[in-house]
Amino acid sequence: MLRRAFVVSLAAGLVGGAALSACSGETPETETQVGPSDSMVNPELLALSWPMVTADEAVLATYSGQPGWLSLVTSGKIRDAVEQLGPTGGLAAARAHAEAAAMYKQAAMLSATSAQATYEGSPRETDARGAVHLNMIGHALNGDVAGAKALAEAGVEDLSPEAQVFHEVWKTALMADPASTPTADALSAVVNLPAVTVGQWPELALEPHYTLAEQAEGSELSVTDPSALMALALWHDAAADIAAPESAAALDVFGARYRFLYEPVPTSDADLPMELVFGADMLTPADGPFLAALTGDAGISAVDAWKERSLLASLAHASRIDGALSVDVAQDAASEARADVLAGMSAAAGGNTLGHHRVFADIVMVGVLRAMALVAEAEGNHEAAGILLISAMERSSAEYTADPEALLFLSVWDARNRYPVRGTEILHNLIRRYPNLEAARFGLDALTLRESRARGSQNPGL
Amino acid sequence: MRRANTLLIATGMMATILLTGSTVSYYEESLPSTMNPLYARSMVDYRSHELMFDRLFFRSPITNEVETRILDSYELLEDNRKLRVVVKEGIQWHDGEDLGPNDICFTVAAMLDPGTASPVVKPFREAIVSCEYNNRDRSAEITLSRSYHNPYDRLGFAVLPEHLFPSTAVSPDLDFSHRPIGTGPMRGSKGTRGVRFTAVPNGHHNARIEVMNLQPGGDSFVQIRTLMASGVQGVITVPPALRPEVQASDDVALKSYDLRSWWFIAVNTTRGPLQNKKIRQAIDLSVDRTELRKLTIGYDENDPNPPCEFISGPFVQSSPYYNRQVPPRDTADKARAEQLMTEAGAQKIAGSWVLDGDPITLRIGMNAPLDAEARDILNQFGNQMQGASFNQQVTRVSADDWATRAVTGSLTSEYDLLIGKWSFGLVEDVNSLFHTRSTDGKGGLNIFNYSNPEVDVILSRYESARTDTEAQDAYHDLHAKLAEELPYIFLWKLDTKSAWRNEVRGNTISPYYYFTNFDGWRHDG
Repeated sequence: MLRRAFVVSLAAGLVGGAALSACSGETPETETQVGPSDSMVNPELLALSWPMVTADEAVLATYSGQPGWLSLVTSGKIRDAVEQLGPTGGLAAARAHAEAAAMYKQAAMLSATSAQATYEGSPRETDARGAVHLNMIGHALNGDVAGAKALAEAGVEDLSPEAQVFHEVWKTALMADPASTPTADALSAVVNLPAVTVGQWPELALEPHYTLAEQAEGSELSVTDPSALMALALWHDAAADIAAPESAAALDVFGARYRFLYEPVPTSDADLPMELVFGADMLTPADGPFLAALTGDAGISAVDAWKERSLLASLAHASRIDGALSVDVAQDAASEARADVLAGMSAAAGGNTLGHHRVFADIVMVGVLRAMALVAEAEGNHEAAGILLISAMERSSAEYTADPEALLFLSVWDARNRYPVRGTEILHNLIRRYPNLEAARFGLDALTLRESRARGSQNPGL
Repeated sequence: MRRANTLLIATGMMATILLTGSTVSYYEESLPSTMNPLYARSMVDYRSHELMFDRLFFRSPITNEVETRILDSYELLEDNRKLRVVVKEGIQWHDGEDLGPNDICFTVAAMLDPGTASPVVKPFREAIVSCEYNNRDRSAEITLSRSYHNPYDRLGFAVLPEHLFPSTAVSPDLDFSHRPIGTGPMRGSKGTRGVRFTAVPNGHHNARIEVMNLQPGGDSFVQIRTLMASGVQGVITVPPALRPEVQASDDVALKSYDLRSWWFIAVNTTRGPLQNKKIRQAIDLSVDRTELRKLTIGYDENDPNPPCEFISGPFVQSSPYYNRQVPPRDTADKARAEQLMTEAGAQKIAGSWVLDGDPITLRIGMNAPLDAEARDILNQFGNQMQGASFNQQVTRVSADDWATRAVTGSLTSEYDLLIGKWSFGLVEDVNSLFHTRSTDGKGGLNIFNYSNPEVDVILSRYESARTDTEAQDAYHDLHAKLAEELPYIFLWKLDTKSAWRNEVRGNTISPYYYFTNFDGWRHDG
């Protein structure tokens, strides 16, 4: 019902299909004063947020005129957005491809991290020797290229010819000087992806790529190699760059929080254009570079460095007690941001709360929670990060808040903790919308089986 | 204001205030069937016991790390076959007695004692050989049956007070099952209309909610109305149809609860017409799951995360054990059902199936609390059977009878079909549901005492699997076999969501056990 109200509202706001590029890189001014005086939300920064900017119907109309934006923001349908925004979609099309890349990166990380947690984290004598190849990928995607190279150098035994094809691509890249990871072209060739084309959505063949002989007679492991998802991620990255070549640096910043950990941290401190912020869980144009810095070398120092420009950084700063992020205060900050956005948008609409106001406010709340989780992790407070990620997930049941990349990010986080239950359900649900994600089941299933059996038997409850 | 509260709490100033009047009430699916964790069967039992007892080891609901609250230290010895633990000082039972290492060994002895006739203890009997303690250094040494990869997970039992039991043979009808004494954050007192949990400050617990009132839930609509009106602060199970209303509220939040629950109709294969596989298959083909789900659960076809999903075997679809080669049956196939009935020798006379001269009358029962999650499912299913020309009698089975009689195989003479659900955590071991009952505890949860040697062989393959792949293959085969043999008609998985008012904060919900981190909960009302 809520979603329909929003769609109707957006449709009603459709005014002649104004050119989207009119918004690029600009921050429309607004005179709306929002935020009660005791709120943690900085009203000046809130005014720069995409919900407040698009409280101006004329600005909103530049987005609502394109079905691709509706698919992306209201329905969370990345594939539809990619295809609808199409080859002439410019930065908007690039955004859709960048979202797809982020999703596949997290899916590849999920499979590889889970497999590594299984075959390296809790090895068994009967494990396939060839599983070292999977451990190698896990090391690389999690940023330990040197560790991956060491495994490649040591050699991987018992690979079938089909598995060897995947391994050779990795070995070639890792053994180069300097060591690197496979290129998009090399991986695309292995899994037969088409040439990169903006507006296209390549599909994977979903049958297992190869088997690995386990060290128990007659037992074979069917493997879907995480490299396939990596190939898709890099394919969409390339499509995004082709769609908006002048914005490559901004696109890197946009995707920073969901990047492969071997990828360099973008260092640009330029504001993101509105096309990369609208409907996203980054709220203001400076939130992109803030989150990039936070998840990069700057770490937690990014909060103080960005608190005057980034709404998320300012909320993180306001959520501190005795210098450390408080989970309770961070959750209050998310609630207050939601309430202030709602109040601000209503005020801009003459005191009327429209359907899409609640949608935008919900996205804001979830975005704040996700960002606060990253802040907690940067502080080294792993448990607080988990509480905030789970809290965000619990508010992500609607299509517009259920960003696949964010949900998969939580699944990866869980996999690192060797907890696969949440992830299996998240992935299973996402596969309905994105069948290519079936490729991520392999690693997560391996971890689920390993952990489940290691726990012993347990009676079910009635 | 909320921020001010948070700041006060952070500085420790609120704890005392909260403990002088903070009361939280919540709706449960039913009353616990027992307050003795050795006899826990229902999820209500597990959740309630988590408030009253400490488990020796548990997993953090957030980071999944192994934790303990009652041990100072622990170490593995002798190639991981022995665990030496040292009990913390200053922990008291709710009656004021000190917790000691003897209590740990008593609990182990109680679980190993053949006189303790509980299926709950079977996993512990398999893993633990003995326990010896030394009161002088507060240590205990637990010997395991072999070297385990995750030994602490084998020792997640709730610790019981030795001084309250006359012997290690613990029976379910002791007074302790009504008035338990634990070391958990709350002391529980079960009445006929609810359970009152009262905070007990202790060296290792500091509950910030003084009283938790468990009320057995009735009509789920009333539960949610009461929650919205602040009559209670929480509802453990919110049915899918009412979730949108909760989601739209600014005062109440839906909370996820990691539980793999699936619903079934157990089929009595040991007597009556349902011994005939063709008749079982005909009944399966007569079930229109799509209609049943629509009428009882409510279903939004556009939901990106559907809470209810059909299954064709004893696992949720997201599980690696689920065999995706066996498709779930969404709708009825009455023509095929009629053909099977005819092949089974049944005749349709005056609109009812008759076999060997007697009309087939299905005696259908249901675990009563399920009505709250799937409204009127018993009658709706009965109607479908009637529509398929089976006479039927429907009966609600009380939660107590379900726990003590249905799952113990004691209702085989009274029912032909029983509607229920099972809930699993990370471990999805279904052997106890389908294995032939035996004196060594196998098949301990086999509702109609189903027995099939081929199934038993598959279950043995699972138990003795050398690799995860072999275990997975065994359960895939089991899934296919059960879908053909139909000791159960598999319905759907239904996820569980709770709802708590926003005044209840810090309410991290643990997978399976729910209240593991209860010390972090508080009520800012």
